[in-house]
Amino acid sequence: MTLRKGLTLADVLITVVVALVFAVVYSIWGGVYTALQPLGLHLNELVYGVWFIAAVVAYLIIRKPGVALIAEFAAASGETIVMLQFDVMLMLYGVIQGLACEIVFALIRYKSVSLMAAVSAGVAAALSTLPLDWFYGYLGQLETWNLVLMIGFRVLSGALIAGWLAHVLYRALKETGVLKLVGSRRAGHDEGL
Amino acid sequence: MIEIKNLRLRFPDAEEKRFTGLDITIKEKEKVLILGPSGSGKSTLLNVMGSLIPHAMEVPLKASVLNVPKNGAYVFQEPDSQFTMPSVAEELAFVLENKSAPVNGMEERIKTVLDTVGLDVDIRTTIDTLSGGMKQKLAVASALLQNAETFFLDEPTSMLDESAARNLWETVGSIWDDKTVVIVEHRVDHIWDMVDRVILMDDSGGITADGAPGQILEEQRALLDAFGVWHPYSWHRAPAPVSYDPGETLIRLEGLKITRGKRQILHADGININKGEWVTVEGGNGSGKTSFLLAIMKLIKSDGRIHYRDRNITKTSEIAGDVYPVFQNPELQFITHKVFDEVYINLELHFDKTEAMRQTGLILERMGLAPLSHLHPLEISTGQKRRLSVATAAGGVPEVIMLDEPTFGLDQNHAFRLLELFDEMVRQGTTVVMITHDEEIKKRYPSKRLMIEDGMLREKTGVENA
Amino acid sequence: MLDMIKNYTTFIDRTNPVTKLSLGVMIFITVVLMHNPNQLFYLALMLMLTLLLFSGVRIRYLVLLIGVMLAFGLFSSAYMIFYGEGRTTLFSFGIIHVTEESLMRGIHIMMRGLALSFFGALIIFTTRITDVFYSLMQQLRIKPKYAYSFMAAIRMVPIIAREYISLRQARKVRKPLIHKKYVSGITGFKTTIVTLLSQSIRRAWRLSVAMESKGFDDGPRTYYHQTSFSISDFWLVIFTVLLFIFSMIFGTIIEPFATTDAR
Repeated sequence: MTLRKGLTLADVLITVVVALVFAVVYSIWGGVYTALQPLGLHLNELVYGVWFIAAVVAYLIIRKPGVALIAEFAAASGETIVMLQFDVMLMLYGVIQGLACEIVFALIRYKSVSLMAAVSAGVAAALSTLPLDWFYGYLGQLETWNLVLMIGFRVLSGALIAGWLAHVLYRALKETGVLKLVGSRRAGHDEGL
Repeated sequence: MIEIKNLRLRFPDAEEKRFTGLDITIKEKEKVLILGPSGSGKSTLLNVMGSLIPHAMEVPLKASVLNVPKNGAYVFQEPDSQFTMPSVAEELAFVLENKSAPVNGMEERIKTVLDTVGLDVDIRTTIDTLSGGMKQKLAVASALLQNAETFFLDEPTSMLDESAARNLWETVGSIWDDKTVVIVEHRVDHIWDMVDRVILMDDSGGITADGAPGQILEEQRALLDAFGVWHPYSWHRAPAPVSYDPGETLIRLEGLKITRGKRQILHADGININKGEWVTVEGGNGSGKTSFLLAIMKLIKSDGRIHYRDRNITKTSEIAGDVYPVFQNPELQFITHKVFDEVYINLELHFDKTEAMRQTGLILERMGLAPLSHLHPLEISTGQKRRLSVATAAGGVPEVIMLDEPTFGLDQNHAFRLLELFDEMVRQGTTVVMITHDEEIKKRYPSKRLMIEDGMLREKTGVENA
Repeated sequence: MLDMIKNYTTFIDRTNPVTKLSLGVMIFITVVLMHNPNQLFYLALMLMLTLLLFSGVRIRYLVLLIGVMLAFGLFSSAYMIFYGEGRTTLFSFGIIHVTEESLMRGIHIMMRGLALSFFGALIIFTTRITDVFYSLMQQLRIKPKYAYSFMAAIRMVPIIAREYISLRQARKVRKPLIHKKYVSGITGFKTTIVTLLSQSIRRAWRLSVAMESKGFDDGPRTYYHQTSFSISDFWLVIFTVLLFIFSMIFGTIIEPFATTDAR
């Protein structure tokens, strides 16, 4: 028996659905992000990590190249699908954040499912969109303390939510036995038949 | 023709092999029913015969002969996980697109096949709005469009009520003459006389009996019972009906009105539910039975009054400890990550630790869940989940337990064991309220039958049992 | 659902989704590169008018939506208005320091967001979501595996939402009987998400098997919904380019703001 290479239909479908679950949950809790904005103190950045938690969770359960990117794209388009809001910027950000995660996972060759891997990806994704924000939001013309606060919160959120929380969810999900169905398989498991 | 010899198969990560040298041959145009206890590998075998294993599911297998059809068509159990597209037309077109069928004439073929299966809906209808029975007919239509010679039906009626199930089998019977059909089912009353051959599997993945339906029923009834397979004589072994001793009124409904949008869906006035009663709630699909249950728990909005022991109930927390509902999707009711804890957490506030653990053990034992204590509640089979959700109620010591189709999809033994448990609860003074479609249950057990007809909830008079 | 709030259709409804998506990206780039608030003002204004006139959606829904967008736009630029650098102080209170420059920059950022939101809403109101994926496959040659995964997953969104509601209801009735540590805080959140994920993964896996059993593979196929480019695409591109040009011109003739560079 030959194992199918690359992403199977099941891999892609599960990835997209995982992202959409987060999109649904997010749309229910979504008011939080907006409610934290008016002070301008970047408290909303503390929950920034929820934007790319899907990429990390999807990678942890499937562990194949491309999954993080698809998950992130799906999570971004999830807002379009769930809340009927189309946001070009969000899609673009999703792709960049997905790519950032993908690079981290490629560096560890899609092998590790450790907490460190998850946290690194979370932080990478958090930092990845700063250059764009710099141009879009004129961050260079912000008072320094405020800028530091924003970047600090964002990195913290990437590490905590997209990294640590994603890993907690992954471990809990593993206990439910559902992950036996999915992901990359070892070759040679038909021995002894 | 299907021919499999010396099939060996093991699931990844599993200790033991699922099949260790199974042989099976199915002739051209034969209609075969495969029966067996849950976990006997019936569905797995079906997936091998239609070559879903190892192509769509990566399960390693070996066989000395594996002669299976390339283009088998499947109808699965769950409507929610077998459709890809939002609308009826798009879903059926999906099958045609897969075969690279010409776009011209697609719509014609879609309309024809809907006609064939007797599904009279506009082709732009959203699948989500169809009833369970209609969804399964759509699945049959989709299988027909595949032009397959072999049909594999994997418990297609287990989510359907009695009349929808009968209707579906009539439809299947009307289209299957020139097909080979392999069916896995545990509700067999409608098809027993339709099939040519019945194959009985045991719980270690072997075939124990194989013959004409009449012959199997004659010779293997003890085995069918032991495996929990529903058969035409199953109810002869059902627990005996109970005698009741109703006490004071617990729930009283006055002018209860449930509306959805602007439409009133249910009206119930002057309905009493008493201590120690066994009440059934009956009504067709979508008649508002589940809404009724949710309304009593104040989980959805309703007008009118709900009294519990003369308290007027205005919010969920005022009634939740005394009345305990068991919903249809058991998995959504689970909170912990162990089967044991799921029951234990209901008891720990009532008893000291040792006693709570002892009682948890007893309840799990009765429900046949003791060997699964250490597993995750989401990991066990659907039937086991359903039993576990009832077990959480048994542990909570509520005065009234309300169940939404508790025996749905269970095998015979587990269904009977539940009925025994309800019987015992009623005798100890607990009130059991259950939504059910099962004619036999309605006939045998309730002390009071509530019927929903034309949006009115009424008490059915002339119940002999009481 | 869209049908219920739509009054009429326009050439934008008949435009290929790929064209609309590409124009969306183009508007994003333009908006990021535009530093003159006067020009951005006209661009945002004209995109709002386009939404009002060409989406075909009933006016009272649109007015409500635009109101919400304005509020959200203001929130998301608050950080710049309150804490941006600048010399001419307008208002100062504690750590808040509003200057003429930071206010202008804040308004500029808000108008960027609004321009994008207006165009985004226009796309949403004029596009059937399945058509997006059909045209991505037919015009951009995206592999069916990806497109159909998205379409199948979209079908599951209402199921996921329903499950979430049932899950909340089930917890509400169990809560009085058990210790609250099991359902509150991070534990409660974790078990909620894990249950939803586990259910959805199982369902997605089964669906992928069902799809393959119906003969789905990544190979060549025909398409029930044919999508192609038409004259409408041409008009929409011309229309958008004209919007750009007009906003450039108006922005230098009638200047609503005192400055020509928000930076």
